[in-house]
Amino acid sequence: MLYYRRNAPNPVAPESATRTAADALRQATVTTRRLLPLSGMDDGSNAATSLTDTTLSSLATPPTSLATPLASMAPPTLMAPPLPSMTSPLPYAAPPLPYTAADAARAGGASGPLAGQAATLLPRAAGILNEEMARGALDAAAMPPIYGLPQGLPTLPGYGDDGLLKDLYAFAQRFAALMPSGTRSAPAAGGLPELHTRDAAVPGQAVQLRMQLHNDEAQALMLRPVATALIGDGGAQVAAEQIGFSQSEVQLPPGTHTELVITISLPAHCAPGYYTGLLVLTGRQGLRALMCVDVTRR
Amino acid sequence: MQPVADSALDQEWKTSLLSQLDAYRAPILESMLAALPKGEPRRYLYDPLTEYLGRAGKSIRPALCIATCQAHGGEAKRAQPSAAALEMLHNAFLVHDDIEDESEYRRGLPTLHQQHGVPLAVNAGDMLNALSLRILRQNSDLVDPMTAARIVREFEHLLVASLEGQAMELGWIRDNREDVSEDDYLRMALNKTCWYSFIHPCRIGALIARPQRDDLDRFNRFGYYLGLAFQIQDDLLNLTGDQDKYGKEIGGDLLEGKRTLMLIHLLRTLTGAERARVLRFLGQPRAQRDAHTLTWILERMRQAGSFEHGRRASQYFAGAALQEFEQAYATAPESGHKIFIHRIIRYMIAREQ
Repeated sequence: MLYYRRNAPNPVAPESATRTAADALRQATVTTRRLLPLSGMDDGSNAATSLTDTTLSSLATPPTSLATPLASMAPPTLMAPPLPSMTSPLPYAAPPLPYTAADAARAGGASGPLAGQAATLLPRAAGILNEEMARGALDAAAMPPIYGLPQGLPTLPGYGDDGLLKDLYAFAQRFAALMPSGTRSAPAAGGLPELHTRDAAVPGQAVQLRMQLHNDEAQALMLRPVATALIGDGGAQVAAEQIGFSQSEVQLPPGTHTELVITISLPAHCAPGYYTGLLVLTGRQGLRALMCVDVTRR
Repeated sequence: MQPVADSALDQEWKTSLLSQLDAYRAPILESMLAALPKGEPRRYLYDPLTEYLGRAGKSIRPALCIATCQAHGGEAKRAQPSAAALEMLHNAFLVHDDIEDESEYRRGLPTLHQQHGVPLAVNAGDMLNALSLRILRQNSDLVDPMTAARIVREFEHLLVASLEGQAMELGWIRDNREDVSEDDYLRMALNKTCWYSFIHPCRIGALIARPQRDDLDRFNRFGYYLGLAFQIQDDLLNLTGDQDKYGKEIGGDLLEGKRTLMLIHLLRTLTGAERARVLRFLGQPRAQRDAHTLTWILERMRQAGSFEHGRRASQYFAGAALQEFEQAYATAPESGHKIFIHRIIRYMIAREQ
């Protein structure tokens, strides 16, 4: 896949704003290299790429990978009402595309005055998209500076500024995916995600914190949650023994996710205050979060 | 050649696909209506918007977003705010587009500015824009902060690109440009239509399903070709369709002076007095563009093969989208959602509305 970054070498980027048609065609040729050569085009100079009528007619035929009967497929989840197509016959029993070889013949065939003109639009469109990408159309969407960058980052041996930046972003992305949803979960100043209860708790109450865990890596993960005691801002403590987990071991096969529920049983004599403690998930380096509980008077 | 219509396609197939679109649309409409404030001013703002949102659109954008999310293993509910925001934004564009184009009908009914006047319609369109942001904010409860921020970035680009494309088209009309090329059209369509209607909905759906993925560019060519097939077919329907099915006035694009692929083809084909007559027609204020000349231009388009040119282009782009589909959705397992997206490609050139 061609992939453009503003600072990356671009094999097909125009060298100047005044591109020639030949530049565009050359660019389009690179872009659409997977497409089939168009046979019978009357304009030999544009015989770069396009689709044949045979290819077009394949619109009426399901690709092999999609030929599974609909009835055997799982219904969509979380959509109401269910998709009607799940009980419908395959859609591909429809007649072939209206544009067939016979239609082409009626329209003048491959040697007619119109032949080739519409076909050349495709590589030209591919060239235009490439050009827009080379200009950085999607650069802003590619890598958002969510947490900003501290000034004066050290340059590491073997890393340019961009390399370090990229690694930082990659780390932040991975970390963000392991943070809980629906809570104030952005890293605090110290860089740790925070787990909060929605409402303040009262002494004697059992409160729950929830953490969504996703494994998007190729290998399975086995995580074991461990928590320190919670320390209040007045110095009071809630012992680690008061903290329990929905699972003592979290097995995460590749591509799966689960929710870890942390239950904190606040002692009846617990002093009011803002309590924090460290949660560490062993088995995955750097995976930790700050547990935060706001305890008020009854 | 007959229009690409019922005569050539299986009606049941189309009915089934439209039912699928309806199923995707239902929760989106619910989200949009829920986002409308319930207080005042009802008569001058919220009542007209409630009626407008309730008009039956196709909702292709949210359907593509949700289906792409589900095809990649994501949950529909996590994509719902983004999909609803896309549709809300689309409705905002439509309200303003109809004012800019002086259009009379939208989805089979008078346009919002025809019903309530231009000032109230402009304001209502602005409100739809604001509400799309409000809906988008719901992402903070459903996806991680990084993904939510990336979705905002996707929205930012689709908004800017769409407005740039719209400016190109409106500028060509204002200046009665006769030198607009097919390449200009392809670039304008990319910006005006394809990013926000096809490319970004797929990118956002995939991003929500797999937040770590950095290969969203795989959807760019697929969405662009699909969008071009859609836009050219839309332009064709505007010139040759059935008004009852299409929902807008037939020939409206010519009355508005839009530089469609078919008009560009005609201007390239005609010479001398005939070409001058077309340009004179396009250079007049809309109110002075007469029906007789409009009919004559449509007939010249037919004779010059401009409709055939557009149909072929639309079909080529649909074919290209089909090929790109294989790559764009290569990592998605087989599912009903993947099939739905595959069927959308064909629908782009088979639709009549």
